[in-house]
Amino acid sequence: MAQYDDKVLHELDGIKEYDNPMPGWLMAILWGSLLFSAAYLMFYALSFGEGTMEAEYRQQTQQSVAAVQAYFDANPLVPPKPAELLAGAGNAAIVETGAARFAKSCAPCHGPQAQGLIGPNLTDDHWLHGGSVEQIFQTVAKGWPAKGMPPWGRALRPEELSALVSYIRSLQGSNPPNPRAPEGEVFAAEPIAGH
Amino acid sequence: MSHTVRYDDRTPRLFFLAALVWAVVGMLVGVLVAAMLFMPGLNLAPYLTFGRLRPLHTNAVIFAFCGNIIFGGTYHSMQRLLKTRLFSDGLSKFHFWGWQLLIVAAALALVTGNTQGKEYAELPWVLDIVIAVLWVTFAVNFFGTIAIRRERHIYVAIWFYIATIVAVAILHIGNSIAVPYSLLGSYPAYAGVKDALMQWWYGHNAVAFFLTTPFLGLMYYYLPKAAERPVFSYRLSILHFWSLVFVYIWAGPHHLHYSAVPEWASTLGMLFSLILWMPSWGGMVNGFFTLRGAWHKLREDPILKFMVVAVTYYGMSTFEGPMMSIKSVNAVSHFTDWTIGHVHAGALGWNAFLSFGILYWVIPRLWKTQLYSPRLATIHFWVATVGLIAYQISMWVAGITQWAMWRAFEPDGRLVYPDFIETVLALVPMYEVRLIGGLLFFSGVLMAGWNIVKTIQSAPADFAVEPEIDAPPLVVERLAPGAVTPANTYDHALYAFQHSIRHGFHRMLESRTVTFTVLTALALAVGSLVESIPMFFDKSNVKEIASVKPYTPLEVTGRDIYIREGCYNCHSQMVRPFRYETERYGEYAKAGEYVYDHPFQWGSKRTGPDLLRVGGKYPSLWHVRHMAQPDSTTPGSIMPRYPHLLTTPFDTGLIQSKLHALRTVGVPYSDGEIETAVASMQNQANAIAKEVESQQGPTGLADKEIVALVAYLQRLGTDIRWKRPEPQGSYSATLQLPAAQPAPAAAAADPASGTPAVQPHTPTARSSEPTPAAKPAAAAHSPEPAPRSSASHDTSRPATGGPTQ
Repeated sequence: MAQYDDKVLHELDGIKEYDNPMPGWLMAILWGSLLFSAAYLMFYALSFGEGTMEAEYRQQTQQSVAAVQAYFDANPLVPPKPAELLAGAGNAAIVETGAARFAKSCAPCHGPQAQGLIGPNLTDDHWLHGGSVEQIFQTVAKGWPAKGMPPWGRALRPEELSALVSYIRSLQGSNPPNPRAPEGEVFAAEPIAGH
Repeated sequence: MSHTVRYDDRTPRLFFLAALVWAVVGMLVGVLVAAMLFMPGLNLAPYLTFGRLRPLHTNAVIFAFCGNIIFGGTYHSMQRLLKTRLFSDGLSKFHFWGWQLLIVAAALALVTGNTQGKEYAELPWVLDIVIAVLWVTFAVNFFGTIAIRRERHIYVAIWFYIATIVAVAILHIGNSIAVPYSLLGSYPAYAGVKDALMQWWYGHNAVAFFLTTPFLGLMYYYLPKAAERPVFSYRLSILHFWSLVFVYIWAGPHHLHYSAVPEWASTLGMLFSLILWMPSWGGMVNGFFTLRGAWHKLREDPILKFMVVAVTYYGMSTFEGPMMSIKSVNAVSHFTDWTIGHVHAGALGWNAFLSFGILYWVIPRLWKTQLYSPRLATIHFWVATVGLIAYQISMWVAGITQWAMWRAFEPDGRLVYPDFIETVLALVPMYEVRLIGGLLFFSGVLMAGWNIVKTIQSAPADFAVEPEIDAPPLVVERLAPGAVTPANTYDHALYAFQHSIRHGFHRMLESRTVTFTVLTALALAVGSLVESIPMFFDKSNVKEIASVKPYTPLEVTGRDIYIREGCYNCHSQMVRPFRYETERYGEYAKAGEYVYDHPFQWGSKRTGPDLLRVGGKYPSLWHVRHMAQPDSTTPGSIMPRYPHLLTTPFDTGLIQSKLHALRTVGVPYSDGEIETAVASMQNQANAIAKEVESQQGPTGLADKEIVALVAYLQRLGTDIRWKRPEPQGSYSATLQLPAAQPAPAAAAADPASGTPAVQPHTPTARSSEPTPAAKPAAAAHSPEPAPRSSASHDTSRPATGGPTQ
């Protein structure tokens, strides 16, 4: 710690003022930040166009899309077979997984008992986009964004997607209270394996 | 002229007491809004909701609590530093009562939803004028007192007060320029990007010149007084004063990193914030080093304890601030609770701690008595310190947690937490800790209140007798031997100049207060002008997008409801160019999209998700149900309920004045559009109400506020077209949709039927063509104009996963 001379320079209303030199480390911060700023500005001025936010974002996007592509190339995503989905509808563990996800993501629009609310009733035999498990799977995975149905394939794990569809199939004919009026075309439900 | 001066201590007494009252009120509201974040049932719509109370909290603690401390402290210390009485007793009275009335009016305006929707500048334009009048009153009283001073040189505290008065006047007027459409309603002159830059030039410098410079001035008076030690370094005062005033004003754009503001502005904001580190720490060093030789007093004296922690927190905040202004750090902290923690470290740690230190020191002196209980003050100190630390740490943890959850990706390109609500509910434990911290801090304020009331009760009967001192009036100094006239030769002038700077150039400035004030204003002007002029004159800063059109009259009305309810307090409208944001929300924001946004509504905190691209994402019925009862569509939602929107009719009486005001600030509405505004509103409202009915929702909404709000929300972000990159192999890219027909429900509304002049941008009639497979990533960038015919409103946009956002 530097020695200070502590010479009183002024006095006002009982407040004395010393005129001690400024600490070296404080001046180092000042010159350091000025130097950094000058260097940063030069770097930016010289690399305008590249190194900008947009260029960075473009690069980020390309990298992440490529990484995802590589992941899919190594782990190809195979849509489940209708038989698997139907078998799932008879499997208590799978139905439970599907029900848990349904409560979180689907119930807000389709109702807690899938009776229909903002979106259609999923328990009756009327379907807007096809009632086979394969079609339901496609509708859930791909969504109908223009009508407010999000593409859940972007958001949910593949196993969860399948479980969800199995769960929805298991609700066929459950007749919940306060159902939304039927919409779409009649489709006779496919039989659940093991039933 | 009499040598006797009597100080006006009544004015500071009143201001300090008012500060105490508003501290209790402001922080009580703070505790309430903190609790609302995990107990949404506390919201009592329509008046007492988070969106209306949060501005009340910020305005009350900044302008009511801190404001009164500033005025009381300035008036108390300046009389003693200038050895003179305040310039005018009448102005002092007017200033005091005017300010308190303003605060009450402001509180009423805010809870009734009369807001301009700009953070820390929410008050309606009428009150903005009242603020300006009161500030001028303060300035006249202040500079009048300087003019009649009996001390030639002004002390460093006065320099900081001068900077405060000049800067706040410039900032307040610069940011508040607006065109009124009613007694309380107005639209700001600036839109979008320009409004954002003006707002944060103001907002950041409100921190600088309302919460920093005046408090540094107070520190320079009360700290050496309380410590009874000399100020460490005069030359450091000079360096850090001028550098602080010159540099601070540039730093505002650091609130807008990665937003649609031009990058040069953001870069300047960051660099000047870094340069600001030393000027800020200059104040801390002068504060700490003044305590050399007085540290032992800290054990006994609660006042010094408060002041030392205040200076410590000043140092910590002014280090954290520059770090947070670095773009890559800001990418983490922005929109999260980290910012809230940072603000409170400054506001509680620096402003409130210094304020209470001052109050404990000054109240016994102003009432000529002793502090009732130094022990209770010590308890207040420890309780407040623990509360503050709990607050700050919980907000750091909450901020970084939320950022980490927002950006987490699975290897297959899905977001780990696609539902925004998950990232909110994860923070609830931290919100609970924060509430405890806030309650501790608040209980300390109550202790201070009790202690101060008891102190005042012990005052002697003659406490109000004004103290008298002996101070001769200033005499004009002779410039040169024998000279009684102004310098009239070269030699004479040179001699006079040498004479005046014999103690240094700055010492001379300290005796020339007008020059000093002008130089301060010039230092403030440089940064302000360099950053704002290009924004207004160089069009390349806001690239025009042809497809971006003004809002329809109904959407304008809905937008005003959005502003009235304070939605911007929790929702941003600014998607940053990060993969994790575009994946969650959609294409990042372009400057040209905001050209009709008076005021901009980018927000600064995401307690809820971003809304820039919410248009078309949900069916209108979803919005209706969500506004009435948010947890019905988003389980666990902490958003307040707004059931009154479904029963209150929207206003049609003001729409033409609104459109006229908007046209004055540059929105190109035609005469025809303004004339037929009401009919256009009804048409668009009918279409939306019909859509909601066709979705089997509630009936009879066609004249209710909810449809106006839904019209606005469904319009948001839909003026440009964009596509999300779809990696090949993902379900959403490869699956072929079954060839089913879109249901008639979606096409039910016919927006074009008989609509005069303004076409409503009803989002219902969208064709639902399947998303094309795998677009190359780079294609997602330049916005294509959306076709704007009412028949085909084709913005096929894949929504992100999760309607529970």
